[in-house]
Amino acid sequence: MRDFWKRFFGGDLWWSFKSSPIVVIAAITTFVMVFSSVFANIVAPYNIFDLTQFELMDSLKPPAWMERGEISFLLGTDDQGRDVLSTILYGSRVSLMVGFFSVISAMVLGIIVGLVAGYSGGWVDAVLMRIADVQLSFPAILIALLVNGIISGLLPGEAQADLAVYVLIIAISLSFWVQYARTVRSSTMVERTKEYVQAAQVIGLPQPLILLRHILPNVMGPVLVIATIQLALAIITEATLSFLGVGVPPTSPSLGTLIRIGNDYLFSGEWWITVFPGLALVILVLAVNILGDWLRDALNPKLR
Amino acid sequence: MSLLEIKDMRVEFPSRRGSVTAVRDVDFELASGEILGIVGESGAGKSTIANAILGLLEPPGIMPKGEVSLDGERIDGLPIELMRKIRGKRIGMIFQDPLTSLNPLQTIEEQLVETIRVHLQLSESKAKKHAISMLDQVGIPEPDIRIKHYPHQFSGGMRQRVVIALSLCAKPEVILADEPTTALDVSIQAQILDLMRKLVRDTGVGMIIITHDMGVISEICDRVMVMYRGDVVETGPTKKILGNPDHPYTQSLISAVPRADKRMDRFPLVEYIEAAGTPHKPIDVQNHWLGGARNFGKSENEFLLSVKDLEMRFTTVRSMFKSRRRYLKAVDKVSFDIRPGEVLGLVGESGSGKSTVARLICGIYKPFAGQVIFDGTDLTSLGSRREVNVHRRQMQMIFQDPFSSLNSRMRVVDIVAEPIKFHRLASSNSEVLAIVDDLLDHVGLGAAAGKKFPHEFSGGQRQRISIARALATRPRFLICDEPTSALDVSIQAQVLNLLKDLQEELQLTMLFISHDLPVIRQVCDRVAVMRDGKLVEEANTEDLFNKPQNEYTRHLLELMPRLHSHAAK
Amino acid sequence: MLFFIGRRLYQAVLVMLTVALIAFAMFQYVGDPVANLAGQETTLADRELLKERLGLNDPVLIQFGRFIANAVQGDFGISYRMRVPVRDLIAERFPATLELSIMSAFLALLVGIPMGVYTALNRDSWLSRSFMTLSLIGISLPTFLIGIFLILFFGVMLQWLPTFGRGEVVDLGWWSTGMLTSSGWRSMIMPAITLAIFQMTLIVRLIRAEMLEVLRTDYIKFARARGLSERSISFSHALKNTLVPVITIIGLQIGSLIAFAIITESVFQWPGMGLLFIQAIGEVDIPIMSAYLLLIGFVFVVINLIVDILYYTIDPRLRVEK
Repeated sequence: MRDFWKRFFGGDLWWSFKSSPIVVIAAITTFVMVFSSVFANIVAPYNIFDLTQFELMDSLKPPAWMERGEISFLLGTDDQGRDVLSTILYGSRVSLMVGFFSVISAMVLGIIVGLVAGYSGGWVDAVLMRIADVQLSFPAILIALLVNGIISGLLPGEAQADLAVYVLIIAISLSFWVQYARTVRSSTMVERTKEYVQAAQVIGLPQPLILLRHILPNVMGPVLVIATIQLALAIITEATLSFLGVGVPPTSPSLGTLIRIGNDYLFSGEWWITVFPGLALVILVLAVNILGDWLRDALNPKLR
Repeated sequence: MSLLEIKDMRVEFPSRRGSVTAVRDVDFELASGEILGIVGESGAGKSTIANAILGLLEPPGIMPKGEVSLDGERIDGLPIELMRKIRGKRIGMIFQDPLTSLNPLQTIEEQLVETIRVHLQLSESKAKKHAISMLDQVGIPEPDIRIKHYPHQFSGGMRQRVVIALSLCAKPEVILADEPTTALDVSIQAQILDLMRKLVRDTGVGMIIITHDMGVISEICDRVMVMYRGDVVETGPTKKILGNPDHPYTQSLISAVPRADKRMDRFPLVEYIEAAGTPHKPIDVQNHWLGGARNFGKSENEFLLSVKDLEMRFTTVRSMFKSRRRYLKAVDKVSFDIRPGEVLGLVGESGSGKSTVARLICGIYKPFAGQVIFDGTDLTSLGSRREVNVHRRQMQMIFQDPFSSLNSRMRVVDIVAEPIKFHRLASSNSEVLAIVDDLLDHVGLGAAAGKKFPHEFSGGQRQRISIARALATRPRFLICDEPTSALDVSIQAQVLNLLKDLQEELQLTMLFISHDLPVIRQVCDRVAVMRDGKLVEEANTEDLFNKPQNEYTRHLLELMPRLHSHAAK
Repeated sequence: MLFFIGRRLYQAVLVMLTVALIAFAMFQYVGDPVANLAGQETTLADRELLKERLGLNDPVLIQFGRFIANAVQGDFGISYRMRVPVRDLIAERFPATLELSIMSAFLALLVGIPMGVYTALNRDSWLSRSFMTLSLIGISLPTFLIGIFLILFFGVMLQWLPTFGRGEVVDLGWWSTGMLTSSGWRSMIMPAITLAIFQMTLIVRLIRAEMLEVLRTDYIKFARARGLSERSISFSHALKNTLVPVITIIGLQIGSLIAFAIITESVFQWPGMGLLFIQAIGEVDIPIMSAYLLLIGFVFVVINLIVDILYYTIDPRLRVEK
């Protein structure tokens, strides 16, 4: 293990990380945001789910540095008197969670489909990829909207709010798996013809073992890059769906829900209810995107 | 005054881990009508010289020192506008791979005419006329029709002719050819070399040929410059360099080239280059795991392996209707037998189906028809994988490409241990590890190699890992598919020696596939020649080399570069 | 050529059938059409009659056939909520969405392609570095936030541009256009920019990546070694080869603008199909949802076909006569 870390810190990846300040800042930002939202109940000044902690009297207060602002509500309050900073922290938690789990499930589904399609070829491949093509012709957001709409239509009304987060995760992962499947498929098709796979065949290893032990580790590089970029996309998609009013309900708001709520107050001048959650969203997504971009370039030997 | 003169050239590639010097203290001259060969193994810096002359070093390469003069004028460090008037116009360049050197979206005409009009003040129609005459000159039939075609409509050899026409069309004084025939088959190589020699004689240009292949040097060059790791070790007339070289590196390099004219027991080793990996704390093979349990029940069969009417087709045109499908017969009714302990060579040019035969025998492909009989059992008739594996275990393969034949995500120890564990050939994990150590040591890597990953090894060392992996199932039959064609000659000699030793020690039966006739002569007992999927001749090695029966075999033998006989002249 | 297009057409029909199957399945399994069409006081007998009239008692395959036959004639049924034929609803909204999408497509291509080429050719200049930073921010900005920020800045604070709707439209009979009035144009500016930015950044990054790839190839090196001018190498050799792989993806992107318009339309209350669709989802109005799906599928198939033909004219390797 010590060996591994030594190799890691001596390696090109660490070097290219270290030598680019923007990437380091992005990594720190991502870490701080993930940390503070995971531990929102400790970090946040108020618990937004505790009704005793906010009063309508405090509603629509501007940020602390403005006239009428109060230092106890650093970024102001929303229509219900909740502290905007706290809602952002709790909201990022929901956004991150949905994003993270959608990416994981999309990745697992995509990898399985991609490996099977790429290795077996023939009609299995043709059918799977035809499905992928059809799906790819619709933007992810539309698929997510549709899946979300259909599942919600099938669920009884009272369950909808409770299960909204899970429905959202399913909807987003069903709209994202294609990317992984196509990438894994094409790398699998390249790897499959390489001689180390033939060597494994000559040894007599059964196909599932060859897929798991030999091919999978060799196709994971691009998958990880996609996963980082998809995490950013998933967070955006969640925010968009919630903004459109078909995602997370206002009772457990995500960043998108918060922006939707604030949008109603935009014209009456209470801009902070929208703008701060919006900025938080942009900063989070930008940081993740910078990391993803860096990872893609760093792992691509041709660009060095 | 010489045509091209290089003085004291030095090229560096700065990187974060310090500057790498690719080429240092290079001095040479080239006269009109002369062909100079620059020879050396990979990493010697030969291509870098050509790129530096044209100012086309790949970033971050720089030339901090040195002079390049063309006709007495300095051309290094010229501004890009002036340099462009030299590239193509006064110095032409030919690249290695004709398949990727041409713009796929333009016709040959567009590419030729553009190049001609950039350099020569010609009208569109005159440029086209000139283009057609160029194609004619490089031996492309029906040039007025072919000029309208796109690159993908030409074969590899024809494309290289087009590339030569493109390099020559502005009538340059110097031509730099970087491995111009490496990507081509032997017979095409001979044609292209003929063409180049003729062009030099006819037009009086000076030509520099960069190659790793001593055969090419002996065929075409007037003078040779030998490079080793960025240094020029020796320059002189071809006859002198090939026949009586001064420098020990050149001597060992030439002795490592497999001799076409006679069979030798072992290849002379080239200690100059890479610690030849002198191996083995000698293990007593008979009592070791590797040699033990080798009595597979004394086979009463005369042949260990017989292939009968083997056929393989690849679909080239798919269709729902059987009548519209088109197939390529990659292997067409091939039959041969191999006796226990024998080494059979399989020879042919690319596309002849020899590698496909190997893959059919060891089960990577399923044959369309025919039988593979191993030790009396027809493998194609066996149903379950378990049954097949009993036999497959005794049959292993060594692949051509040392870089893709090892899983780069696994440690060497895991790569070699995998077959032992899978076939349960050892009782405990510690025994497996001990065996792997011995195997790695036996192939000349040392047991410490196990902890590393494949990318930490050179091509030759990787081939040794491949060999260790193949030995790990304790096979009796080994298929070697071009095991050394991706290696430098000096490394090739070492790996071939290792294979020979192992074959004797373990009484291995081998199928040795190669396109390289001299190598075949050194290694094999019997040879089979393949062409277009068919077996055209089969004979004992010496018989085949001395009195070939088949027309095609004779043709191949004629094309074989006879380096040693040439040098002795 | 004919064979090539024939094959593509066959694939297109296959895609449309799949989409139709999904749309049809939505009808079958999500919500009960009878309950949706019938009022509270409809009797059981009336419901049965309605069911018979809608053909819901027929075998599924026949229903699917009828569904397709109707869809081909533009009949998508009646909206559950608005009780109006879906065809009329879509016909009314379609021009708004199409005008918005075409505007954005122009913007995205006209700005995206030159920027992509520039950043690939001048990899290390400060301008292309700032382009790349901008494009990174561009893909990190969710479309709806761009809209909101634009509204806040140009609509609320500066009050330069209208924040919702299409402005004045001129009715041309079957088409209502906002392109003939100045208020129509002013209303178009912010939505079009909002919709274009994401696609634009994607195009910049895609073109740059592909072009860098092409610039590394042997034939570009060979072209340099022949002394061809940088201009010719960059544009007639590299750019053309870049376009081959890029054209499909750009085609798809442009096609997806119509669907992406959902978000923009709901931010700007743009009276297009997207707004209709998002309302339909909220109300589980299946006929509108499935009609929208079919329409998007159709647009995609048409664009794909155009792209394939373009492809065929650019890349000679597809024109091999065997």
